[in-house]
Amino acid sequence: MKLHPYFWGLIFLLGFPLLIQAQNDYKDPATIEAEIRQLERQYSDRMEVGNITQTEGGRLILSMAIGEGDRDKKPGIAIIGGVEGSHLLGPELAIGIAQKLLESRDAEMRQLLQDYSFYIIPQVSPDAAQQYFDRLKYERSGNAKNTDDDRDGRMNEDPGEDLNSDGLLSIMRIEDPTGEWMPHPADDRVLIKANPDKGEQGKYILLSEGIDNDKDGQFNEDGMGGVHFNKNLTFKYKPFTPGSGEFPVSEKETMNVLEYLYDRWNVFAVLTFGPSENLVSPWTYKRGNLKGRVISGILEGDAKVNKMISDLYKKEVKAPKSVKSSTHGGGFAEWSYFHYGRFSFSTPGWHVPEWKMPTDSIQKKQFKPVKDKNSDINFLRWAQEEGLENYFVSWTKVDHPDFPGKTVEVGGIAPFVKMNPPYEKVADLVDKHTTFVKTLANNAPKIRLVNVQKEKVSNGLWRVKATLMNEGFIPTTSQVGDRFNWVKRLRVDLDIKDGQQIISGQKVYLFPGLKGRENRELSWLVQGNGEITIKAGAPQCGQEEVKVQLN
Amino acid sequence: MKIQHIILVFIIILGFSPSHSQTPEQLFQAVGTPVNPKVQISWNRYYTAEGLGALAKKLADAHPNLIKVSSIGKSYEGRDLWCLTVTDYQTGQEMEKAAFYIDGNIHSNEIQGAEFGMYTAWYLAESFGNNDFITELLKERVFYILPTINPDARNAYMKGDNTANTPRSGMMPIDDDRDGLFDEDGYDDLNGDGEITQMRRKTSYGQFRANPSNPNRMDRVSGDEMGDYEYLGSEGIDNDGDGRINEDRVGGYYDPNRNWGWGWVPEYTQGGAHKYPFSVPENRAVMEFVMAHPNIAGAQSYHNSGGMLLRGPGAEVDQGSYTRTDIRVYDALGKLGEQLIPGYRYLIVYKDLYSAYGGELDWFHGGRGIFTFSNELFSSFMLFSKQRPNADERDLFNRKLLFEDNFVPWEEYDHPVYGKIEIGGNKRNYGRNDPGFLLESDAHRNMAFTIYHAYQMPKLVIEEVEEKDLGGGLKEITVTVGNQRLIPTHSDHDIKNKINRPDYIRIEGADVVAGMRVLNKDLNQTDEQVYNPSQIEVPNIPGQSTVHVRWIVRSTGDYTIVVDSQKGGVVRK
Repeated sequence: MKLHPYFWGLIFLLGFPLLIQAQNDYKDPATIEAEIRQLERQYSDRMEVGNITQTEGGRLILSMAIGEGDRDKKPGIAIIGGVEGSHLLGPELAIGIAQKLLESRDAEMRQLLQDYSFYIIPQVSPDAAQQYFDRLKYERSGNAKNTDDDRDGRMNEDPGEDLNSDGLLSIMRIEDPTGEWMPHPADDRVLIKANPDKGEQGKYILLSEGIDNDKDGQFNEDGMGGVHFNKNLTFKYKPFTPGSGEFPVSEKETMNVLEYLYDRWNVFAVLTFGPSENLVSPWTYKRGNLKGRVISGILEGDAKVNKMISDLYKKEVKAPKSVKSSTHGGGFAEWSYFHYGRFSFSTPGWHVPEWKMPTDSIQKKQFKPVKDKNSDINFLRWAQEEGLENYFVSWTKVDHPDFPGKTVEVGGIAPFVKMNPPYEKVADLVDKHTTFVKTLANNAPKIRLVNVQKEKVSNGLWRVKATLMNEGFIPTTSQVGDRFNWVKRLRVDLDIKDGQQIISGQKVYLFPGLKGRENRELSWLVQGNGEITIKAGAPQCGQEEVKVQLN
Repeated sequence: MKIQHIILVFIIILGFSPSHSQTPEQLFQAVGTPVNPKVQISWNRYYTAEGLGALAKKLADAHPNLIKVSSIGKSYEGRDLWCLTVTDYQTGQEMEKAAFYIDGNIHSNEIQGAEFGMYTAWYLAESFGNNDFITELLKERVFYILPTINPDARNAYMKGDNTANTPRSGMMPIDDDRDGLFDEDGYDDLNGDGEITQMRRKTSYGQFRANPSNPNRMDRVSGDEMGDYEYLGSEGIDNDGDGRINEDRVGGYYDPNRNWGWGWVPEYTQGGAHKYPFSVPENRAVMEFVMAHPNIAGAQSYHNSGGMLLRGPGAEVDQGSYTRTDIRVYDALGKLGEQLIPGYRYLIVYKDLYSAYGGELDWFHGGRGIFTFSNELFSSFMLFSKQRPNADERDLFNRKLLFEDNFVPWEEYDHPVYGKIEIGGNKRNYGRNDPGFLLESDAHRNMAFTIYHAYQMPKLVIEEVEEKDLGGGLKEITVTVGNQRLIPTHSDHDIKNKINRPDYIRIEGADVVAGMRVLNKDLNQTDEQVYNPSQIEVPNIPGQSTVHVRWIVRSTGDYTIVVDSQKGGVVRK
């Protein structure tokens, strides 16, 4: 179909204000795609949109390369959202940051686009994310690939069902003498596991909402399924578990995102918005993280960098103290560091704030003390104080064919709400994370040649000295990256002209990375007058060139 | 082309055309070999990727009911990855027969696996109808034979500037020295003889000395002696002027056999891993083929050299995926292999060689539950029927049996960096790949091992159908299904991880009231299956063993029992 040229103009005029105004809830994958296209039309001078792949569900995964000039020659930051499909905040933050980077008229921000490149893929799990916008909502992580989640040879034979017809798949509790779950003493809406050793008695069986379609005694064990982006990568991949795929990087989504990043040698850091956390609380080094050639945890020097960046992050984004660092088997942030060899920073971008017991003694009486720091109760109390709506599905009785004559209730904390803040908080989070991205870029590794000197040794013989320095605070190469050929070495070239020759020193040096602010002395003996050129750099830390006149 | 040339070519073509080959009356069969095959192939030389493709097509054209050729995908440079599917197409359905998978040449310099695979296809097809065992085998089994899964670098090995050890990978460019340039400093055929041999230089502080009885041979001096020569590596110059020689060659280092989706680890743990599992396009094509052919129950991936029948695990950490039950099967096959191929030893990769992560056999066994061997073809045992011949014996072989065809005599050369040097040494076709006169014999013995392996894949039979009247219009039907061969329908590792679906034993045409597995027929221990009881799901039919299922049915009409196993085929009664 060929469209009249005015068509796009019309869409532009009509569509743009609509998109801006309509935002009072998270954006569905189609809207994100449309917004990326919108930005492409507006800022074609400083961004390029790429099509990473089309998913099994027919949705596009788009990338935005943002920055002015020759992007692949400047230090780059990759920003990825949607590694967990039910984490709707991730894509919002990623595309929000892209917008800020592109729109800003602030001089500092404009300079950022001169000095660095940003590769932003806002939504890598569009098939899964779509479930939030579907008639039947549930926290879905898998793509549209048909999977046999319980590996019994039958496909999707036992999905969940919306028994209480509220459009959500939540939890069901069944009163049963063998039940292991009991109401929490501080809030009976919340169920906890009874501990028989403490004389506690269970009352409920807890299952996800649905019936046992295949009568195998297991509930909802093989529904739509799909492969989870964040379980399908190579670091600590768990084979033969639901959502992990038949082998690592089995999916179009994972494979093509990886290919996109492998093609960008200049990326020095990856920022992931997803379930793993190392910004509020950094990954820490332990002895044993490196055994022989096997790396199972962050290396010592890289942990220091993680700590430094984490401290900078916490200046911008406040998070509860209870938040701990985390890793996920097969996860993307983990791949970015352990197998892509770049500095990897990851956060969900938001954590449920810590609810504080009122100090007023009368108010305090409304709340029973929570000895086990139960996070569900913390959430419920915070949500109530915030005046949130629809965050809890009251337990309601349903008739259940698999439990005739038994009390079965559907309810619990609504899906999505613990992981995604109310939408009105998103704009502020975008601002703060944009500032963080600016901070991250300003700490980028930057190669410089300083103290360049020439010294006449004898007639026509020159000693040339220079200091190779990393002006940034982040190392030019992570310790992991130093170990393999997916990250370039620092390369120093001494270019001479006809009639000149290098008497001492190499024409080409290849060095491992320099730490933040670290330097390395270089020295050559060159015979013959005239101009020489010293070049230094690597894609991930920029290039520097100095000319020296020998005469 | 001049007319004389055309005539000459014509004469040559005529001279080699089949019309001038022997008539059947002029032949007498050597036992064990097809005497007058439809396709004549010389088994004492090697073929390029295109040569193999042409042979595959010839075989398929000559045996349309036995061999079909298809491309399972493309290599990095766009060559077809040819698969010969060999079975008796007039008996049964391909996907309903247990299948045996063979590939070769994953390491591009390890070429003879391709000829061994091709020999297998040829032997099977040419023997069908003449040999009862092979005829029966092709009725029951399918062979998927992929002579080379690395055609690009196979050709590069044969035709490019390479040694016996290069390339090992495929042809994707790799920046080996991490300087930002790709494949910018490879070997150079300095003396223009079509071979990349060694560079040596005279020095009074050398580690080597020419052997007194054979000046071509270099011996390392011992102890406190000083030699006359030093080695300077393979032929080459500093192409990129970075002060190093041959540091970033074409077909640079990645290892297609460290790139599979089971126990994969990154480059820094193991060189050659490449980007992620199946990032090597040829491997990805094989993976997709194997995923689409769950009937594959046994596999062989040919390598060289050293005379080994290797099983996994590749890595010590992966020992858990080889259980005692599975090892019993491997042992039985491996030990017979040692008898069939003198000089070859049955070994375990991590234990007897080194830990190798993410290898092809690991994915086949660990990722897909397929009993897989990897044979390291050609053994020095074959020189004089004794293990580990010494340097003198090797020398004898080279001189008296190869007539020094293996060797480029040392000749002087003026090198831009090293000055006066000499170039010479072994050619690439020496050392790892079978010499011509030993090739067919080695191919035959290895094929025999794969045939035995394929024979031992599950063969299911419905042994017994017992009926018992329960009264009240109900009847009990108990079926015994046997597996007559060594290999189970599911490896133990497969059962634990539910890699492949269960075997289905179903009853068609009966009104089923209930169905169950019979765990112990004598003691009447059963396990009822409530869901879809007419098709009982059996986790495994073990090798040389039986399983039992039972139905309670209402009707008494004719019914059919179907055993439907991915790796054991489909049988009906």
